[in-house]
Amino acid sequence: MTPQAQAATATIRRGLLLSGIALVGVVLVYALALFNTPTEIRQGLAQKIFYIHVPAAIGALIAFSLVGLVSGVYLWLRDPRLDLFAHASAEVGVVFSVVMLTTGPLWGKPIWGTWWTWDARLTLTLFLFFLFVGYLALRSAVPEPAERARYSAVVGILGLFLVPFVHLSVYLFRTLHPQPVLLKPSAPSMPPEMLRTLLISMGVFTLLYAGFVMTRYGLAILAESTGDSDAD
Amino acid sequence: MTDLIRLAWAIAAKDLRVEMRSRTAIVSAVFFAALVLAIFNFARAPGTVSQAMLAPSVLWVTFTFAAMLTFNRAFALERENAALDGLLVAPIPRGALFLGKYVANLGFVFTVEAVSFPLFVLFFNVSLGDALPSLLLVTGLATVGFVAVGTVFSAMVVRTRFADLLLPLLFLPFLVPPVIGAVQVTTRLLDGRPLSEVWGWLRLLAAYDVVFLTVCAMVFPAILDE
Amino acid sequence: MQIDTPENGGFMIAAYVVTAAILAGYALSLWRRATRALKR
Repeated sequence: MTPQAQAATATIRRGLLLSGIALVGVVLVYALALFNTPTEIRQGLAQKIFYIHVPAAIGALIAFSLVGLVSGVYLWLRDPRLDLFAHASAEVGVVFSVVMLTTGPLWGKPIWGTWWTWDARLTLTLFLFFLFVGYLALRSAVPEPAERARYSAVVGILGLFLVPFVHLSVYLFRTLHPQPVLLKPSAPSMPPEMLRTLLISMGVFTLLYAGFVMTRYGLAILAESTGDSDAD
Repeated sequence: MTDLIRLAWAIAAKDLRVEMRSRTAIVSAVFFAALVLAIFNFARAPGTVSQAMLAPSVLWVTFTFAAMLTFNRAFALERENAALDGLLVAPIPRGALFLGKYVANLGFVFTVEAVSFPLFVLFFNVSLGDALPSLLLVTGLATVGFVAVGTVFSAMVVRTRFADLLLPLLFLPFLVPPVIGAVQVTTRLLDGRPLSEVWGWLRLLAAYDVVFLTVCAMVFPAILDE
Repeated sequence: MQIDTPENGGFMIAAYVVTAAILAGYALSLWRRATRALKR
C-alpha cells in the first residue's frame, strides 16, 4: 500500500468516526429539542422543526460556498486535492439541501399555511440545489480527472457569482408583488433554552458536515491513489 | 488588443459564414421559436388567462429556449473533424477564442430573437405602442449576459457524454435573473409604463452582464487547457 | 390573553423522521463505499 493510500485510509476511518459521533449528536439534539426545550406558544410543536432546518440550511450554504471558493483556488493552484474536496463538499451540500428542502415545507404548511412560497431565500436555495445536482451530473459525465476538475471548477465559480443575482432578482420581484403570508414568522427574541438547542444543533451539523466530507474526501483520494474510479 | 479583436472577429466571422452557407441551426431555431409560440397560445385555459397577460413570459421562455438550441451548435461544429484541435494549436489567445465564439453566439441569438419577435407580436396580438425602442434595449441587456454563460457551458458540455441533457441542467439556473428581470420589464413596457419605472431591473440586468461577461472571459481558458 | 397553541406535532414528527432517514441513508452509503474500498 502506498503512503498516499495509507493516509487516505486513515482519513476515511477518522471521517467515519467523526460522522458516527455527529450522528449520536443528532440523536441528542432530537432529545434536547423534544424534551428539554419549551414549545413555542403560537406555532406549537411544528416550531421545533426549526432546530434541524436552520442548521441543515446553513450547512448546505457553507458547503456550496466552499465549493465555489475552493474551485477558484483550484484553477489557480491546480492541486487535484482541492478538486476532490470540492466534490465531497458539493455532495454533502446536496444531502443537507435535501434535508433543508423537505423540512422547510413541513414547517411552512402548518405555520404559513402553504407548502411552498416563492420567497427570495426559498427560491435561491432551490436553484442552488438544482445547480449542484447539475454539478454532480457533470462530474459523472467527464471521465478524465483533470478535465473533470477544470469543468466543475468553472461551474462552482459561476455558481458563486450567481447567488447574489438570484437573491436580488427574486427580492425585487417580491417587493414589487407582495404576496400575503398567513403568519409572519416574527421572532424578535428567543428564550435562552431555544437558542441553546439551536446553537448545539448547529455545532452538531457542522461536525456532521466535517465527518461526511472527510469520509468522502478520503474515499476519493484512495480511489485516485489506487487508480480505481469505481469507488468515486 | 487590436490583435485580440481582429482574431476574435475572424473566428466569429468564420462561424457566421459556415452558418450562412448551411443555415441549418438558424432555420431550425427560428422554426422552434415559432412552434413554441404556437404551442403556448394553446397551453392555457381559454378565457381565464388573457393572451396579453401571458405574452411577456411566453416571449422570454421562447427566446431562452431557442437560444439554448443554438448554443450546442457553437462547439458541436468544432468537434466534428477535430476542428477544435486545429483552433487550439493555432496561435490564438484563448481570450480571442472566447470573444469570437461569444460574438458568433450573440449574432445567432439576436437573429433568432429578431425573427421570432414579429411572430410574437402577430400571434399574441401585442400592441407595441411606442415601447419598441425600450423593448429592444431590454432584450439586448438581458441577452448579452446569458449568452456569455451559455458560451462557456456549451464549450464544456460538448466534450461530455450527455451534452444535450447537461446544458439545460447547468444553464437554466443562470437564466433565472435575466429572465425574471426581462419579463418584469417587458410586462411594464407593454402596459405603456415609462422606462424610468423599471430602473432597478435595468441596473440588475446590466450588472449581470458586466459580472458574467468578465467572469466567463476569465474562466473560459480553463476549459480549453490540455 | 388566551392563545391557542396549534396541534401540529405530526409535521414535527414527519420532519424529524425524514431528516433522520436522509442523514442515516447517506452515512450508510458512505459506510458501504468505505468498507468496499478498504477491503481491497
